[in-house]
Amino acid sequence: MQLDEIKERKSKEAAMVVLLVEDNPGDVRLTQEAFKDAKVFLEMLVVRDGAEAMDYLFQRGSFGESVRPDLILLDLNLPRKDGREVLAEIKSDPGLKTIPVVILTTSASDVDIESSYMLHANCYITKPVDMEGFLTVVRSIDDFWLTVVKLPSGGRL
Amino acid sequence: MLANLYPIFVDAAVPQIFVPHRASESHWVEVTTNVGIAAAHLAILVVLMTALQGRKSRQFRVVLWFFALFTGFRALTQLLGIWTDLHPSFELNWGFRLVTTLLALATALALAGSIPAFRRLPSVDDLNREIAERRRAEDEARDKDERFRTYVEGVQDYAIFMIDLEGRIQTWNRGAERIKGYAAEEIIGQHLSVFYSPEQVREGEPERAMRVAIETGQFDIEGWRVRKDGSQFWARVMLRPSRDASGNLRGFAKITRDMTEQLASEARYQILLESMPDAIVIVTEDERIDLINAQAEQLFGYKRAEVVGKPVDMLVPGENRESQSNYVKVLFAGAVHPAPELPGEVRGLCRDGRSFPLEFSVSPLETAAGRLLLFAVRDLTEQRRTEERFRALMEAAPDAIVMYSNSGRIVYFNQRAEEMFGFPRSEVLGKSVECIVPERFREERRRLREELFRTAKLVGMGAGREYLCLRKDGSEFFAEASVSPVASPDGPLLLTAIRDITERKESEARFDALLEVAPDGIIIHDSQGVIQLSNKRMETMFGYSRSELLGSQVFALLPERNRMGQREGLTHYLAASEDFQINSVEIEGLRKDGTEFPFEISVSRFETKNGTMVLTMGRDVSQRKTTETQFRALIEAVPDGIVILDRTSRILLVNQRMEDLFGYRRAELIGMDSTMLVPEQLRATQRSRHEQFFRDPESFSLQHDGEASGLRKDGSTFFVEANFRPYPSSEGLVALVSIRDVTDRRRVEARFRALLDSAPDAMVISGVDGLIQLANLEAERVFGYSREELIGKPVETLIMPDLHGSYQVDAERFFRGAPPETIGSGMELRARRKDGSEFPVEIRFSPLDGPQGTCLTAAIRDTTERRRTVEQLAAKLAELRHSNEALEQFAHMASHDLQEPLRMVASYTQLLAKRYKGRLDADADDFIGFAIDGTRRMKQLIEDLLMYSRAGKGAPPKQLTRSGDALNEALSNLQAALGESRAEITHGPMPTLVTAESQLVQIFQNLIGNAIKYRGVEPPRIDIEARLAESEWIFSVRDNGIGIDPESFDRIFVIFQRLHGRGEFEGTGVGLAICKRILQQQGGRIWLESEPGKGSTFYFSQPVR
Repeated sequence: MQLDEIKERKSKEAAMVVLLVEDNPGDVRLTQEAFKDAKVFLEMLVVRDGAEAMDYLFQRGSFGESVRPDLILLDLNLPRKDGREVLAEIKSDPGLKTIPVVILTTSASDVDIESSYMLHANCYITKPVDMEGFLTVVRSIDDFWLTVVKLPSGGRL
Repeated sequence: MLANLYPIFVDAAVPQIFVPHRASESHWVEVTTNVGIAAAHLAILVVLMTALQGRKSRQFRVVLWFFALFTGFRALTQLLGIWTDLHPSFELNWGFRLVTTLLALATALALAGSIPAFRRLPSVDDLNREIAERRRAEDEARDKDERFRTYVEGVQDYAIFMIDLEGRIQTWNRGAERIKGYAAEEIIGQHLSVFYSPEQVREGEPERAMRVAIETGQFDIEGWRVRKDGSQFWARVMLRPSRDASGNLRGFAKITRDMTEQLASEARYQILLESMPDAIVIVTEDERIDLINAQAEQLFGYKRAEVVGKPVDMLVPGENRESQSNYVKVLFAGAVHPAPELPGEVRGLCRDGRSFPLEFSVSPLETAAGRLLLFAVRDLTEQRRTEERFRALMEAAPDAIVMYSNSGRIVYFNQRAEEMFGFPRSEVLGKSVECIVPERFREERRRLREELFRTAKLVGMGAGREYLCLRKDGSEFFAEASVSPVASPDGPLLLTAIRDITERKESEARFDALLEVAPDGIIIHDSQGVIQLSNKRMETMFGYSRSELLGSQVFALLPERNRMGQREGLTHYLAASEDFQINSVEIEGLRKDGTEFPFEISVSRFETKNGTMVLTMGRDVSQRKTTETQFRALIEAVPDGIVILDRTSRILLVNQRMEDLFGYRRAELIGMDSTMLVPEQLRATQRSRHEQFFRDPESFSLQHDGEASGLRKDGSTFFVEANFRPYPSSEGLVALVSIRDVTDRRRVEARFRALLDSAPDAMVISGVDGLIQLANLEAERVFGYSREELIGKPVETLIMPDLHGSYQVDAERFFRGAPPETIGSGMELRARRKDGSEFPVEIRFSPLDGPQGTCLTAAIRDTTERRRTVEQLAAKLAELRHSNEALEQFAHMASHDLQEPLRMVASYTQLLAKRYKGRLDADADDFIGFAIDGTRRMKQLIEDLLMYSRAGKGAPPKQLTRSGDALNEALSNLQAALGESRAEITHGPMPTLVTAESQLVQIFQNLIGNAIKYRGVEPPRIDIEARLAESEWIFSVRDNGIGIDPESFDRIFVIFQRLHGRGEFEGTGVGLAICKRILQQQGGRIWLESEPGKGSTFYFSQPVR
């Protein structure tokens, strides 16, 4: 109930901006559908690979006017620039490191989990195989990262 | 008397007034009166002088003298008056009158001065009174004296009597009579020495007593005195000088008391005190000395009388007084037993100021006079000195000295021991003496120590025992030790002197080695002929073993008849000068078997700490000694045929055996041509060999010993072995040929050879010289040499040159009797063929006792093939491992990569179902349902496959695991299924073991999960047990489920193999495959017992470690 109040208030104020870094269109759509299904109102920006993600974050090329995201959902296995590299670059940039990064990947391997946290990932989620599971995950992300947590306010890209 | 003079004096003092001359008629009257007055005055003068002369007192003497002079001059004045009357000359008259007047005045003055004295003069009454008083006092005194005398005389307990200055007895009382036995009348006047024993009299005791009494005013003593009847009694005597009223010494009063009875009670105590070996000092509560005994007198240098009653401090040096005093107070204050320790060194102080170390024991003494402390004091000076000397001696000892108690605790460790063992003293004192003993000997040494403590036996240095000792750094060394028991105040100790004999051992070892290789027999015996040492040669010469020789009499090696003589010989030899040597003397030796042989000896001697030793080196000179008869006897005795040939091959001599061998009689043989004894076709060769022999006998003998054929008289032939030896005889050089029938041996050898040839290994037999004596067929084949080529070659020929060294080492080892052993197995031993090519071998050595001594059999196996097989196997294994890895990789990747598209399919069909269920037609809903079900099963399959492939890859680390915990975790994972099926789980005690816990959980989970899944109609009852079997734990999971047909036992462990249709039981068929895979990797096993319908029991094993 309280959570809902917060959500309501937040949606009135300003929609949260989430950057989804995901190459698989199926997954992109699935994520979007899941957020939609979970009735989460936010502005979701999608980039298709690691290089594009970094361009976006550093406002390079066509992303000259990009908005700073409140949260980044990052897949690990990406073309051109690997998710791990992206994570490392974000977390070593003083301007970007305050943006929470949620790793959202198919991998459940211990190596990936450990290396992600070593690179200061804010959390690590293995994509559930079924839809119900995925919905739960999306709801959890919304509840926790976009509602409960106090995120650093702004900063410019 | 003076009083009586008084009136006269007064009358005479009346002054005479001068009267002028009167008328002549009265002249005669005048004259007459004047003469009368003068005469009266003269009379007074005479009387006065007489009185003055008789009086001793000088009182009033001056007054009286003045009065006498005045009276005399008065008389003269009267007479001059007459003269003047007759011859009136007034000058003289007036002169006299003046003098008289002056004298009268002086007298008056003197009288006036004496008035106080006169006044003091007692009156007659006073005198009378005084006299009466004095008389009464005298009577009283006499009375008292009398009473005292009667009292003294009546005293019974004391002898009280007076003696005069010479010592003679003057009075006697009843006590004296009773005590001494003398009646008054017999003793008075005798000298007091009758009361003393003759010895006491000789030593001047009575005189000393009197002297001391005079000098000091008293003399008290206790001592033995003699009664009249000669018996003795213990007397306490007081002698006091006796003086008269004017202080003059008159004699002595002597009081004696018989103390014998008191003594009797005190005597024991006293005797005890005096008989104590220690100095005894008894101290009162106020810290004064109550008594000391003679030993204490001697120790401290005081006489008893000097210390008794004095503070005990006087026996303690100044610096110790306070602590001593406190100590005594403590003792009086509290219990004496056990006496508290007095800290620091206790010292005593002698009269001469010298202090000395002491020890004491203290015991309380309850007396009527209160509590006393008895200190038994022992002088430690000598002991300290001894200890010091002993310690210095031990420190200076060349040997390490270790002292320890019977519990093994080290109480002393000298400097040498520190050096020898590398332990500083401080580290070992108080430790167990076993710390210097190597661990493996500790138990044994401890027993030895206990034995030594029990027997308290002294073990001398070098008593034949050597001990291994342990240094601090862990190194060990040989030592020799002597052990002696030592008594100490803390109980018995053992003193062990330890001598490092490493160097000696080394030199001994060198010497021993030298001794053993000596070509002569060597024996060392002492001057009594007891053998101390001998060598191998000696043993073989005499046939005794070393242990038989050592310690026995050297004369036992001589024939009985010679022993006496040789014994004397030894005595003479020992008595002779040192340069005297015995060289190459021949004597008879007696072997153990009773045979005798000529023995040439050289004898020398040397001195050792155990006395003179005699070293005898000797050699058997039988050969050289052979006489014709001995020779003949020998020839007859040998089992071989013996024949002596001259240069023309003519037979000179044969023995009995020769007759037997060839069937000829001796007479026939003598003079016969020896070539007749070989088959005809061989005679020419035989003859040429003979010639060859006589040309160069030595080299011939070496080359041509060997086998040949013999021809009997009956024409039959047989195999012989003939050995030619040159023999110098009186007829010049002849050939001594020994012939042996070797037919049997040939047969045996042939069999042996056949056996050898059929052996699968190359066999090479070599002698001590390392030369090949025999080789088998296989050896020929393997090495490419013919047999003839091999024989006589060194074994090393067959081995690669770089391995010759190690081969020799091994070969020597086996000659010395090492057990058969395979060398080269697992190591690169390479052999060489004739053509120089090499190949790997393995060699098995075994010693073989043959007629020519010990031989070495080497069985050589070509391991080329085996090596190749091993290599191939290894290659195959590697290949297999590789493909297995690839397969695992594949499985892992496949399951991973399959998951990605599956997720898409599953997610979107679910999304489809979620959004469009019921909005399409019924068929669509069904199809969506099947699609979802398919994805779910696919997901399960992939997960299981992933788990299976993980189970094969690198096991998680093993750790100490409680299998009970693993079981509980598995059960908690299965909670839902357990609840649903109402399963009843029981288990026995679960062990703790080293394993990977997560895997154990997995196994339990899979097995129990199966037991639930394949349950029968009844609720499942599952029992888990564990039991220890040898080195592994066997776990069992028993259920009451549907059971399994034994035919399917193998199938169930194969991945994806299922026995039931999907409709009956859910599952992918991976669970048991995973269990098996995990267990295979751990080195465990899994199996089952089951009967359809009755349930199954799955077993799996886990190594204990």
